[in-house]
Amino acid sequence: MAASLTEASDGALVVAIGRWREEALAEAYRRHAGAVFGLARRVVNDSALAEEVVQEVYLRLWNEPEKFDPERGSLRSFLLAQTHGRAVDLLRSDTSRRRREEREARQTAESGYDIEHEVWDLAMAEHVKDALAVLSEDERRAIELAYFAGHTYREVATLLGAPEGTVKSRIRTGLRRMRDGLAEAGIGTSWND
Amino acid sequence: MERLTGHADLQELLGAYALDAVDPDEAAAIERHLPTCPRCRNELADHREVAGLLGYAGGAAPSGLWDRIITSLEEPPPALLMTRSPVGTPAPSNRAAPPAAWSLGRGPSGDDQVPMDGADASGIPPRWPYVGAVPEPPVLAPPPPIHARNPADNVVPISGRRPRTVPMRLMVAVATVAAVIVAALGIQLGRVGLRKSPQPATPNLLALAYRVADADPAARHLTLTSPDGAHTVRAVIIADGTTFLGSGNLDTLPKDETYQMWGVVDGARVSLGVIGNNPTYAAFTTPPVATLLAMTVEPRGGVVSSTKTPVIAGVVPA
Repeated sequence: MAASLTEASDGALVVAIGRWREEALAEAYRRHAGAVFGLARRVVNDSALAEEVVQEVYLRLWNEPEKFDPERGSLRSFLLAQTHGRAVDLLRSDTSRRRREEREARQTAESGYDIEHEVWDLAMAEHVKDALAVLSEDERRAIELAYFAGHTYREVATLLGAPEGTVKSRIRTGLRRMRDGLAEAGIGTSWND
Repeated sequence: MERLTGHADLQELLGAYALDAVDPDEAAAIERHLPTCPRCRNELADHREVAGLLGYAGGAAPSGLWDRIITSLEEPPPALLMTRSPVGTPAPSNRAAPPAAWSLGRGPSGDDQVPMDGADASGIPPRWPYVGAVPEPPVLAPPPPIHARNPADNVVPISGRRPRTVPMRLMVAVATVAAVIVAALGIQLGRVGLRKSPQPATPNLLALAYRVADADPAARHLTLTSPDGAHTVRAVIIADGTTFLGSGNLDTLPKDETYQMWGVVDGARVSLGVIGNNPTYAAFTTPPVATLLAMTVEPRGGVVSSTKTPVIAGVVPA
C-alpha cells in the first residue's frame, strides 16, 4: 500500500497497523491521541493516570488491530470507547472511588453540583456544545454524570433523586436525539480533522 | 438484584451501556445478548458514535507520550520484520517469538526466488520461499471458517473439515468432471497474465470440484502457509494443471483489496489470477514449469506485477 497514510481510511490504517507498520500507528496517534488523552483525563482527573490510559489503548491497538471493525464505526469512536471503559475501570477501583466520593460530598455541600463547569472546563469543540444543546436539562445532566463523572446509571439516579428507569431512559433518548441532531447537521462518522 | 428478562429490558440499558454506566452483571447480560441481535448491535454502535463525539475535547496529547509508547512496543526480532501477516493473526500466537524452525530465512542455496518488498532496507533476505523441504506447519486445531461479511455474496465458508471420501466410481472421471465444472462456471484459465476469477454464481459447484479433485489419486497436493504457520490454504493440482484452492483460514480483506495468486517460473512471478477479498474456493491453472505458488495482497483488481512479500506460499510438488 503505497498511498500516503495521512489520507488512509480508518480501515486501511488499521490494516497497515496489522502489518507491523509503526508509521501507521503513529498516524493513528497523530489523529486521535489528543481526543484519547482528553477524555481519559476528564474522567480520571489525573494527567499521569490519563497518560497510562493512552498508552494502554494504543498498545492494544498495536497488538489487536483485528478488534476494530470499520463497518461498526469510526476508529476514533472505537478508541474513545476503549479509553472510556479503561478510565471508568480505574475510576471505580476502590481507593479511587473513596477519594472521589469524599470530594464530591464536599462539593455538593459547598457549591451545589455545578455540572456546567465540570463540562466546559476543557476546550470543547463547538459541535460538541451544539450537540449537547439539543438535549433537555435532565437528559444532559444524566449523560454528563454518567459519561464524564463515570457514574453508573443507578448512582446517577441517586445523585439526581430520580427513578432508575427514568435515568436509563433519559440517557438512551438523549443519545438518540444527539445522533439525530448530528445527522441533520451533516456530521458523519469520520472525525478526521 | 432483579433478574433481567426480556429484550426490552436490555434495550433500555443500551444507552447507559454505551457510556460504561451499567453494573457488571448488566454488562454481562448485554454482552451475551448482542451477538444474537443485529438491531441492538446497531443501536449500540450509534450510541458509541455519539459518545465518541462527546468524548472529543479537541486538545493535544502531552509531548513525550508518543516516545514512551513507541519504545514500549515489543521489538520484533529482525527475521520478523519480513512478516506481512494479514490483520487478524490469532490471539494466542506470540508474534514476537516465531517457532525456532522459522528463524533462519534462507534455503540451502541462499538464493532469493521471490524479490523482497522494497520497503525494507534491512538487507535481510526474505524468510521464504523455502527451497527444498517445506517445514510442516504446526498442527493446528481446524481453522475457523472464513467469516462471511457479505451474505449477499452467497459465499461458502472454507471449512477445515476433511472432504468426505468420494466413491470409487467417481474417481475415474475426476479430471473430466473438474474440467466440465470449471468450464460451466466460466472461469477463465489458460492465459498467463492478469486474469479475474469471477465469483461463481454457484459456489457449491466449485466446492464440489475442489473435493472431487482432492480425492483424485493422481492429483498433487500442497499447502500454502504463512511464515508463522498461522495462515494456511490447501491447494490441489490435477493432471491438466487446473488448481483448486480450498480449506484455508485467510482473513477477509477490506473491499479495496484482493488476494492475488502467482506462480513462480524461473524466478519470476506470473499472475495466475485474482482471488477476491473474501476467498472461499478458487480455481486457476498452474503452469507446468511453476515451482512455487504464492499469494499476495494487492489493490482490488490486482496488479500486473508485484514485488510484495507473499502472505502465504508453498512449493509445487514434482
